Amino acid sequence: MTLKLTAMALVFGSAAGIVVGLARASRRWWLRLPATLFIGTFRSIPILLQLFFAYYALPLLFHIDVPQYAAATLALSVYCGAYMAEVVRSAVGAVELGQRAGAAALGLNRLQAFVYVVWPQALRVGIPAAVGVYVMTLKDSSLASVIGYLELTGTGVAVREIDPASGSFTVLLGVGGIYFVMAWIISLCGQLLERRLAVPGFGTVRSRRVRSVTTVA
Amino acid sequence: MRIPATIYVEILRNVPLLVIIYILFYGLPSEGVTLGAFQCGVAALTLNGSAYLTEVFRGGLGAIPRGQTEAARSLGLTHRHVLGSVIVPQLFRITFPALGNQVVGLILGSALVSVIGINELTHVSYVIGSHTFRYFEVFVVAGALYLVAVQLINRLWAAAGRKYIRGVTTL
Amino acid sequence: MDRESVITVRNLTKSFGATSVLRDVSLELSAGEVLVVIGRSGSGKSTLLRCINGLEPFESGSIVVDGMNVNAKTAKRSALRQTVGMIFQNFNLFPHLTATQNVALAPRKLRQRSRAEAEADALVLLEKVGLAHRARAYPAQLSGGEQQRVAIARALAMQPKAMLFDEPTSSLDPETVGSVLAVMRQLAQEGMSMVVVTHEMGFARDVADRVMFVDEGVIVEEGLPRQVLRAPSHERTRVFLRSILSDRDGADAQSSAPFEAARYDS
Repeated sequence: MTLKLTAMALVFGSAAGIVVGLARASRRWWLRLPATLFIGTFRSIPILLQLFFAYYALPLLFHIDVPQYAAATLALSVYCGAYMAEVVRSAVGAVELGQRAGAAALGLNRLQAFVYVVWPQALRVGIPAAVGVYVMTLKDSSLASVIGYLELTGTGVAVREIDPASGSFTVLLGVGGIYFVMAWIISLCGQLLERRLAVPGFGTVRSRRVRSVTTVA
Repeated sequence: MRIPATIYVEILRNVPLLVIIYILFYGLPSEGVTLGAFQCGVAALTLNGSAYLTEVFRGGLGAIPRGQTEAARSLGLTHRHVLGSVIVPQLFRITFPALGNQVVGLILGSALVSVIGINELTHVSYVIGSHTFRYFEVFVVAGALYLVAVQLINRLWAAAGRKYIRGVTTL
Repeated sequence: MDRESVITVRNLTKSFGATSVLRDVSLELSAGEVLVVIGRSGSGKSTLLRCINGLEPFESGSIVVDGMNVNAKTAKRSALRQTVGMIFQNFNLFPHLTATQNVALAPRKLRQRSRAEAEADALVLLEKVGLAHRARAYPAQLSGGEQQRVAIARALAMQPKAMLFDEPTSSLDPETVGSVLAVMRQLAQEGMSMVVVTHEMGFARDVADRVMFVDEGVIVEEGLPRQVLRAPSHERTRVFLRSILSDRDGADAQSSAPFEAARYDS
């Protein structure tokens, strides 16, 4: 339930994110403008409100019945997409800055430069941020419980309704624990992926961390 | 000292805010501790936010070269002076943009406390919507309000950063 | 002539983990003396300086600065460091403060000077190093040489009895090296006690009272500049000097001649 919802949202969101992100970074204003509006809107409104909108408002608008699952997936995908778009845009932007001159000097046209030079690097640069968005999407999938979709959180709360005497504290703590494990796994996968894709010497800022600022004698 | 802090941060970053709210509001009473809705909301947002802030500050500290502390100490400045006059001011300048994001995150996160009945914007709009069945209009208005607020804060924050922060490159 | 000793190092031994960096090093700096330390990277010369002002702990030996024992409790460290100033290879100016504020910070906090007083004093010092016109600039707006001169002014603000220079010009463009060395020369003439780690042989030859060659944690040779630089008695010193000179083609054509002669010495 939770996994299905999250997975769908991540897939759609990532796909949308890449498309919108690239559009946002494009030189064509008719691509850039809608993309910017999309990103700006869906990152400035709480996911809960977006969920409510999808579940309560859209059906009224289109006179159709929207099941909880669909509403949740839609809202979560759009939300994830907006954030992924930002990740893609900034990763591409960061790489392009340095690489454009080099690629041009080699005589690559813009498309070739992008596909062979910029994108592979952007992929690596964007992994940490993307992992962050994925974890965020996973966590926000818990909100689907508010519109009645029975995923992990919803189930946890429902237990309380069914049996008021049960230690809801422990149950909810357990729920939290499960999310923790899932989020942890995602982060771990991200790190593994980073390591696999890593090019020796191509370090990120994180590899040069100062241990402590206060241990000078 | 690093281990408990890391555990704190990791737990609060990987558990959904909603679940934290539920734990405090629905879970604690079964252990004998009952907090008001507002208190739960504030506590949940604080706990959640603090974990992210910790990461922001950790990254910021890492961006400050070790030589800064060394130079400050070499002048004879004490620990207190080093932190207060050299490290923290730089930390603030470096993390300024990220702090702005946290503020926005807080505003967006506050919408979640509506699930425990606090009368904030999302909750109010939901209630009105359920009474009038004009969900669409109500949510659009609420969304617009959030949007304006967030965009305004973003722009003002960035402008303030450009105006007042000099000499230190930001994250 | 027995001048008072400002810095006394005895049998200093220091290791970083398993690597021994300083072995039984002893030296003495008298008031008003300029000691130049030369040696390869990794020979331990920077570490030596950093032990003197307490930035690095050491295993055995003793260091006494102006009567204060460096290994004493931490509480005294502040006093120690106010007595001996340090100039770093990468300047380490505080980027969020202007040049004036950088110089004025320590006096304000440690000598209880008011802001106006401290900044007025700072201006005088900046004038001294030739940067009064840049008093309100931030480090990012200053060139490397200018930053280093501000760093010197900053150290001078605490009126130290001695100053340690850790490769002060190694990060600078050749054009700006001269401006910093000029300030250091002036300080030496005014009687400041200085220990300078550097590769600038010209400076060593002209300004130093004594030159010390350190290699692999040990003082190989020590003496007057003429002796050590022109007619070194140890082979290792000769090898080192030759390698330095071959890096700077024709920089010091004069001094290369004595080396040919030195090879035949015992």
